[in-house]
Amino acid sequence: MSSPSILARLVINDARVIRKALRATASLIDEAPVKISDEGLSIRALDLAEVSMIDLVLSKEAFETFDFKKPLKANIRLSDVLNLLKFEAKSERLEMSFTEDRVSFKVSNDFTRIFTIPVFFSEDKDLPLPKVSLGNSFETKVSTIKHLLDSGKHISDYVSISVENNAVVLSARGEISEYQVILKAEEGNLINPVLKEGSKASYDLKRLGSIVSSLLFGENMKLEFDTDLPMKITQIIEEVPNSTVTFFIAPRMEKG
Amino acid sequence: MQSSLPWSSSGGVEVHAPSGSQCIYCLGSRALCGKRQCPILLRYSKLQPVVSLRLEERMAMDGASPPGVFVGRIGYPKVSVGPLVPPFFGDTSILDRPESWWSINLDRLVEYRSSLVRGIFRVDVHNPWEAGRLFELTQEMAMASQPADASLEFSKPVKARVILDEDAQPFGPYGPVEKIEAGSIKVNRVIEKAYYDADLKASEAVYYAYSAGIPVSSIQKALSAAVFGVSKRRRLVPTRWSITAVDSILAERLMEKIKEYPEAGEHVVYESQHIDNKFIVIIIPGKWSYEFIEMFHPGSVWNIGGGEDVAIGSDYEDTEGRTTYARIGGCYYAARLAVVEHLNRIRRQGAVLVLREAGPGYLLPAGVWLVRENVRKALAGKPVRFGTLEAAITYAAKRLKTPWRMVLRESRLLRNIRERRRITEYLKE
Repeated sequence: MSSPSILARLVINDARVIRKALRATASLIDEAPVKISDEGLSIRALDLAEVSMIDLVLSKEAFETFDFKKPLKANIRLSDVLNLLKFEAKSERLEMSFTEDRVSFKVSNDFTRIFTIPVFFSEDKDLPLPKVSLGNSFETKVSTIKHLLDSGKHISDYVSISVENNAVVLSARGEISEYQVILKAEEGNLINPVLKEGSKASYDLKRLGSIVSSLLFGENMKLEFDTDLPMKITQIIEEVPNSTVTFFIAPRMEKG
Repeated sequence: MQSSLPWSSSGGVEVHAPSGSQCIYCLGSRALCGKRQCPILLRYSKLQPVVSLRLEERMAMDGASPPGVFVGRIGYPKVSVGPLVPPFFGDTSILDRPESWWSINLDRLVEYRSSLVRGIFRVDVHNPWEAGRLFELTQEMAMASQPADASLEFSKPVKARVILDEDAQPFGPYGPVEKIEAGSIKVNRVIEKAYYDADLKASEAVYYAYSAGIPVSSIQKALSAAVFGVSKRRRLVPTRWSITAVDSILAERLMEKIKEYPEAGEHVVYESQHIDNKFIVIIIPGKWSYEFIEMFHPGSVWNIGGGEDVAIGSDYEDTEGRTTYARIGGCYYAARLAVVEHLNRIRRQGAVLVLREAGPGYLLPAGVWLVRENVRKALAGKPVRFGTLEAAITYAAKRLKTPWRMVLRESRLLRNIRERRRITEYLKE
């Protein structure tokens, strides 16, 4: 019996980058379309409710080897991979080999372990990105936003963000209580702000919480929004040039 | 809360009073709880004949098990278990088959429940086999496809208990059993096959039996009686937990499918009514999400002493499903199973709001079957179709006695539909 033909073979010296990328994607969906092309490894997908979207790009420079016969898109069940792809050391090397119906993960360090899972290939066209012009942008610490979302989930299902007096106010408001985080440039938690006074929008707190918890590539995140428009969250993948993870989340339009 | 000594005893029926019970002062004559009919007298009237007229000496009995088994949860993991047997023969299957109860009245339901005598013995859920023949026969009855004749001998006289608590479920008499004999038990072949598959996980066995057309109530009995599961991990599951576990396992499996289906094309409203419970199911075009809201009017179960206020509670899940147990308990899962069965049948997904409104005629908690079977009944009926969500909810609002503003205030599903945008709306040029 002949061995299956390898459609793509990727080798990365720090396997944790792949785990973080898949962990970020798993914040929205369990089955991810992983695309291998000249741009590198990318994932663009919607959550099941189509409220949020991920656009992740890991450039070819991330990989020691990045070989593929032709561009492919393989749907991978992330829970299967994340259960098996656990790393303790930084220096673990990961090799991914895509065949016609499987992808194998070979992790090498003190010893070598290999696991293989089924995949199916998709011919679906790439989703377009949201076409929105967002008037507010700033960077802040992931931990600051996470703090608000962790506390706010006990109060409300959604979080509001507004620009007031050159500060960004994030608040979770319930029927009888409210929790706020105020970000100000002078306090150092509002970095490179471009703000449009009076802007205001609301977003699903649970989804936002899940997204922010998955941002593991660095301490900071970039956040863009505008009145009643989607929020865009970007994190640069510091370990790899020209690589980012971006999320979009649709707004809630509060009535009355 | 409940006093340990019987407050009164008559003909084998003990009456227990929780502390502070107003029933002691009422005795069924003054309607202090505000109910139209005294639920305790109703239970007593059905239990008393079973105990005093049919169980001679109350030390032995025989009859045809529907089939039915009971696994208690008090004292878990050491629980009471045993067969359910009425003191008569014949086709008794209706007594423990909720799938056939959607048209019976409360009086008949209490009669069914009260007629089943529980012959109980105590075992550890992890090793019920230590009870030997007692458990073997109990387990076989849990696998039976038709009524099985059985004789029970008790170590103490059978007794019945009525708790002076209008919220307690009706149960039949019970007694510690020391010997069980059974006639020929016709075992269900599908359940038997799962029983002999020692590598089949319990959840897989549940779905396998369901896919083969076995009624949910039969699957619940088998799961409860340690019939399913990988051999070394088999254990008893208290009846109450088993009912919800089966509802949940089956719905989870079906939900995987329905999330792949196209979205429903129109707003539809279904309705059913039983034992002063009204069920309204609204299917709204969109991705799968589900909410169950229940409203208990004054005088109904769970709303005693509520003055004129309607007691309302709900739980909700988004497209991704839920990871925590629903606050409102088993009814949530029972209705969800009925809903996903329907969506799977029509091969559509949607946002589904199930409303349950209980009136003062709902005297006693009937069990979660009432919800499952009536949502099933509603969804088997003819829907009323609407072009918009507003038209659908305007219609639904008129079908309820509860002010719609209470529903609107409670509903996360409706709030999400009204307020939440989809990111796909921004992908277009």
